Amino acid sequence: MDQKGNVLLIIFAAFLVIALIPILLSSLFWQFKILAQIILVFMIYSTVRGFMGPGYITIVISAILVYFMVFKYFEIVLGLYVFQFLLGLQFLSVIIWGLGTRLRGY
Amino acid sequence: MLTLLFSLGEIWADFNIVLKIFVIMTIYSWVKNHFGNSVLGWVVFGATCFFVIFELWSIFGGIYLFYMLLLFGVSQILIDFFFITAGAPPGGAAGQKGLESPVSSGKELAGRQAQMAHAQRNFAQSFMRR
Repeated sequence: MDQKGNVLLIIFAAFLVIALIPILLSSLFWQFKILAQIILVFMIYSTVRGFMGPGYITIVISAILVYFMVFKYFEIVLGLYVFQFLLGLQFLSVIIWGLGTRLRGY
Repeated sequence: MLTLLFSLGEIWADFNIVLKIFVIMTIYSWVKNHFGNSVLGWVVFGATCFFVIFELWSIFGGIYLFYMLLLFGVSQILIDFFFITAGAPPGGAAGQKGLESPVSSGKELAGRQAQMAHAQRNFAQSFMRR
Protein backbone atom coordinates (compact mmCIF):
# COMPACT_ATOMS: atom_id res chain seq x y z
CA MET A 1 0.00 0.00 0.00
CA ASP A 2 1.11 3.56 -0.63
CA GLN A 3 2.76 4.95 2.50
CA LYS A 4 0.97 8.31 2.49
CA GLY A 5 -2.36 6.55 1.92
CA ASN A 6 -1.68 4.45 4.99
CA VAL A 7 -1.32 7.56 7.14
CA LEU A 8 -4.53 8.97 5.68
CA LEU A 9 -6.40 5.79 6.60
CA ILE A 10 -5.10 6.03 10.17
CA ILE A 11 -6.20 9.68 10.34
CA PHE A 12 -9.67 8.70 9.06
CA ALA A 13 -9.81 5.95 11.68
CA ALA A 14 -8.90 8.53 14.36
CA PHE A 15 -11.77 10.76 13.18
CA LEU A 16 -14.13 7.79 13.34
CA VAL A 17 -13.03 6.99 16.90
CA ILE A 18 -13.55 10.63 17.91
CA ALA A 19 -17.08 10.58 16.46
CA LEU A 20 -17.83 7.26 18.18
CA ILE A 21 -16.70 8.31 21.69
CA PRO A 22 -19.75 10.52 22.48
CA ILE A 23 -22.10 7.87 21.06
CA LEU A 24 -20.51 5.27 23.34
CA LEU A 25 -20.71 7.62 26.32
CA SER A 26 -24.38 8.36 25.62
CA SER A 27 -25.22 4.67 25.50
CA LEU A 28 -23.31 3.99 28.73
CA PHE A 29 -24.49 6.94 30.83
CA TRP A 30 -28.09 8.13 30.52
CA GLN A 31 -27.14 11.47 32.12
CA PHE A 32 -24.76 12.16 29.25
CA LYS A 33 -27.52 11.35 26.76
CA ILE A 34 -29.97 13.76 28.41
CA LEU A 35 -27.32 16.48 28.53
CA ALA A 36 -26.41 15.95 24.87
CA GLN A 37 -30.09 16.03 23.88
CA ILE A 38 -30.62 19.32 25.72
CA ILE A 39 -27.56 20.82 24.02
CA LEU A 40 -28.80 19.61 20.60
CA VAL A 41 -32.30 21.05 21.20
CA PHE A 42 -30.84 24.44 22.09
CA MET A 43 -28.50 24.30 19.11
CA ILE A 44 -31.35 23.46 16.71
CA TYR A 45 -33.66 26.15 18.13
CA SER A 46 -30.98 28.86 17.97
CA THR A 47 -30.08 27.84 14.40
CA VAL A 48 -33.72 27.97 13.24
CA ARG A 49 -34.27 31.26 15.09
CA GLY A 50 -31.22 32.67 13.32
CA PHE A 51 -32.73 31.76 9.95
CA MET A 52 -36.41 32.51 10.53
CA GLY A 53 -36.52 34.98 13.42
CA PRO A 54 -38.81 34.56 16.44
CA GLY A 55 -42.33 33.26 15.88
CA TYR A 56 -44.60 30.21 15.72
CA ILE A 57 -43.08 28.92 12.50
CA THR A 58 -39.67 28.76 14.24
CA ILE A 59 -41.12 26.56 16.97
CA VAL A 60 -42.87 24.29 14.43
CA ILE A 61 -39.73 23.84 12.30
CA SER A 62 -37.61 23.35 15.44
CA ALA A 63 -40.03 20.67 16.63
CA ILE A 64 -39.79 18.79 13.32
CA LEU A 65 -36.00 18.98 13.34
CA VAL A 66 -35.81 18.01 17.02
CA TYR A 67 -37.91 14.91 16.32
CA PHE A 68 -35.59 13.76 13.55
CA MET A 69 -32.25 14.93 14.91
CA VAL A 70 -32.61 14.52 18.67
CA PHE A 71 -34.94 11.54 19.05
CA LYS A 72 -35.00 9.45 15.87
CA TYR A 73 -31.36 9.69 14.76
CA PHE A 74 -29.72 10.88 17.96
CA GLU A 75 -26.56 8.78 17.64
CA ILE A 76 -25.79 9.84 14.07
CA VAL A 77 -26.46 13.52 14.72
CA LEU A 78 -24.47 13.52 17.97
CA GLY A 79 -21.44 12.06 16.19
CA LEU A 80 -21.76 14.62 13.40
CA TYR A 81 -22.27 17.47 15.90
CA VAL A 82 -19.15 16.58 17.90
CA PHE A 83 -17.22 16.26 14.65
CA GLN A 84 -18.43 19.70 13.52
CA PHE A 85 -17.69 21.16 16.98
CA LEU A 86 -14.10 19.92 16.89
CA LEU A 87 -13.79 21.11 13.29
CA GLY A 88 -14.87 24.59 14.39
CA LEU A 89 -12.21 24.62 17.09
CA GLN A 90 -9.57 23.51 14.56
CA PHE A 91 -8.90 20.50 16.77
CA LEU A 92 -8.86 18.06 13.86
CA SER A 93 -5.87 19.93 12.39
CA VAL A 94 -3.94 19.10 15.55
CA ILE A 95 -4.79 15.41 15.17
CA ILE A 96 -3.78 15.41 11.50
CA TRP A 97 -0.53 17.17 12.32
CA GLY A 98 0.25 14.89 15.26
CA LEU A 99 -0.53 11.63 13.47
CA GLY A 100 1.00 12.82 10.21
CA THR A 101 4.34 13.76 11.72
CA ARG A 102 4.49 10.66 13.93
CA LEU A 103 3.60 8.15 11.22
CA ARG A 104 5.53 9.70 8.35
CA GLY A 105 8.20 6.99 8.47
CA TYR A 106 5.66 4.16 8.04
CA MET B 1 -30.42 -7.82 4.60
CA LEU B 2 -33.72 -6.54 3.25
CA THR B 3 -34.51 -4.95 6.62
CA LEU B 4 -31.14 -3.20 6.60
CA LEU B 5 -31.78 -1.88 3.09
CA PHE B 6 -35.23 -0.63 4.14
CA SER B 7 -33.75 1.04 7.20
CA LEU B 8 -31.02 2.67 5.08
CA GLY B 9 -33.70 3.90 2.70
CA GLU B 10 -35.66 5.34 5.61
CA ILE B 11 -32.57 7.10 6.98
CA TRP B 12 -31.84 8.49 3.50
CA ALA B 13 -35.42 9.78 3.11
CA ASP B 14 -35.48 11.33 6.59
CA PHE B 15 -32.16 13.10 6.13
CA ASN B 16 -33.41 14.36 2.77
CA ILE B 17 -36.38 15.94 4.58
CA VAL B 18 -34.07 17.51 7.18
CA LEU B 19 -31.79 18.85 4.45
CA LYS B 20 -34.78 20.25 2.54
CA ILE B 21 -35.98 22.07 5.67
CA PHE B 22 -32.51 23.62 6.06
CA VAL B 23 -32.49 24.65 2.39
CA ILE B 24 -35.96 26.23 2.70
CA MET B 25 -34.79 28.15 5.78
CA THR B 26 -31.68 29.35 3.93
CA ILE B 27 -33.77 30.54 0.97
CA TYR B 28 -36.26 32.25 3.31
CA SER B 29 -33.48 34.03 5.20
CA TRP B 30 -31.80 35.13 1.95
CA VAL B 31 -35.06 36.41 0.43
CA LYS B 32 -36.06 38.22 3.63
CA ASN B 33 -32.65 39.92 3.80
CA HIS B 34 -32.86 41.09 0.20
CA PHE B 35 -36.58 41.78 -0.38
CA GLY B 36 -37.99 42.22 3.10
CA ASN B 37 -41.56 41.08 3.80
CA SER B 38 -42.92 42.26 0.43
CA VAL B 39 -45.07 40.40 -2.12
CA LEU B 40 -42.16 40.25 -4.53
CA GLY B 41 -40.13 38.57 -1.81
CA TRP B 42 -42.75 35.84 -1.39
CA VAL B 43 -42.90 35.34 -5.18
CA VAL B 44 -39.12 34.97 -5.37
CA PHE B 45 -39.20 32.64 -2.35
CA GLY B 46 -41.87 30.46 -3.96
CA ALA B 47 -40.13 30.32 -7.34
CA THR B 48 -36.74 29.54 -5.81
CA CYS B 49 -38.22 26.86 -3.56
CA PHE B 50 -40.03 25.29 -6.53
CA PHE B 51 -36.86 25.03 -8.60
CA VAL B 52 -34.47 24.09 -5.79
CA ILE B 53 -36.64 21.71 -3.75
CA PHE B 54 -38.93 20.11 -6.34
CA GLU B 55 -37.40 20.48 -9.82
CA LEU B 56 -33.63 20.11 -9.35
CA TRP B 57 -33.23 18.75 -5.85
CA SER B 58 -30.69 16.12 -6.92
CA ILE B 59 -28.34 18.91 -8.00
CA PHE B 60 -29.05 21.55 -5.37
CA GLY B 61 -29.10 19.05 -2.48
CA GLY B 62 -25.55 18.05 -3.28
CA ILE B 63 -24.51 21.65 -3.80
CA TYR B 64 -26.00 22.70 -0.45
CA LEU B 65 -24.28 19.82 1.33
CA PHE B 66 -20.96 20.79 -0.28
CA TYR B 67 -21.56 24.43 0.69
CA MET B 68 -22.25 23.44 4.30
CA LEU B 69 -19.12 21.29 4.44
CA LEU B 70 -17.03 24.19 3.13
CA LEU B 71 -18.71 26.50 5.64
CA PHE B 72 -17.77 24.18 8.50
CA GLY B 73 -14.14 24.24 7.36
CA VAL B 74 -13.68 20.81 5.78
CA SER B 75 -11.34 22.41 3.25
CA GLN B 76 -8.97 22.99 6.17
CA ILE B 77 -8.80 19.22 6.66
CA LEU B 78 -7.93 18.74 2.99
CA ILE B 79 -5.18 21.37 3.27
CA ASP B 80 -3.82 19.62 6.34
CA PHE B 81 -3.95 16.23 4.62
CA PHE B 82 -2.25 17.16 1.41
CA PHE B 83 0.07 20.04 2.33
CA ILE B 84 1.01 19.95 6.00
CA THR B 85 1.09 16.16 6.45
CA ALA B 86 2.76 15.73 3.08
CA GLY B 87 5.79 17.81 4.17
CA ALA B 88 9.35 16.72 3.51
CA PRO B 89 10.33 13.47 5.26
CA PRO B 90 12.80 13.78 8.15
CA GLY B 91 16.26 14.26 6.70
CA GLY B 92 14.90 13.72 3.20
CA ALA B 93 16.20 16.51 1.00
CA ALA B 94 19.88 17.40 0.94
CA GLY B 95 20.71 19.39 4.05
CA GLN B 96 17.06 19.97 4.90
CA LYS B 97 15.39 18.58 7.94
CA GLY B 98 11.71 17.67 7.86
CA LEU B 99 9.10 18.50 10.51
CA GLU B 100 9.82 16.85 13.81
CA SER B 101 7.20 14.71 15.46
CA PRO B 102 5.53 16.18 18.56
CA VAL B 103 7.14 15.35 21.89
CA SER B 104 5.14 12.62 23.60
CA SER B 105 7.17 11.76 26.71
CA GLY B 106 9.84 13.08 29.05
CA LYS B 107 12.21 10.38 27.81
CA GLU B 108 11.82 11.58 24.24
CA LEU B 109 12.38 15.18 25.30
CA ALA B 110 15.55 14.18 27.19
CA GLY B 111 16.74 12.30 24.10
CA ARG B 112 16.17 15.33 21.91
CA GLN B 113 18.00 17.60 24.37
CA ALA B 114 20.94 15.19 24.46
CA GLN B 115 20.98 15.11 20.66
CA MET B 116 20.97 18.91 20.50
CA ALA B 117 23.76 19.15 23.11
CA HIS B 118 25.80 16.64 21.09
CA ALA B 119 25.27 18.63 17.90
CA GLN B 120 26.30 21.86 19.64
CA ARG B 121 29.41 20.17 21.07
CA ASN B 122 30.37 18.90 17.61
CA PHE B 123 29.85 22.36 16.17
CA ALA B 124 32.02 23.95 18.88
CA GLN B 125 34.80 21.39 18.38
CA SER B 126 34.82 21.88 14.62
CA PHE B 127 34.88 25.64 15.17
CA MET B 128 37.88 25.39 17.53
CA ARG B 129 39.83 23.25 15.05
CA ARG B 130 39.80 26.06 12.52
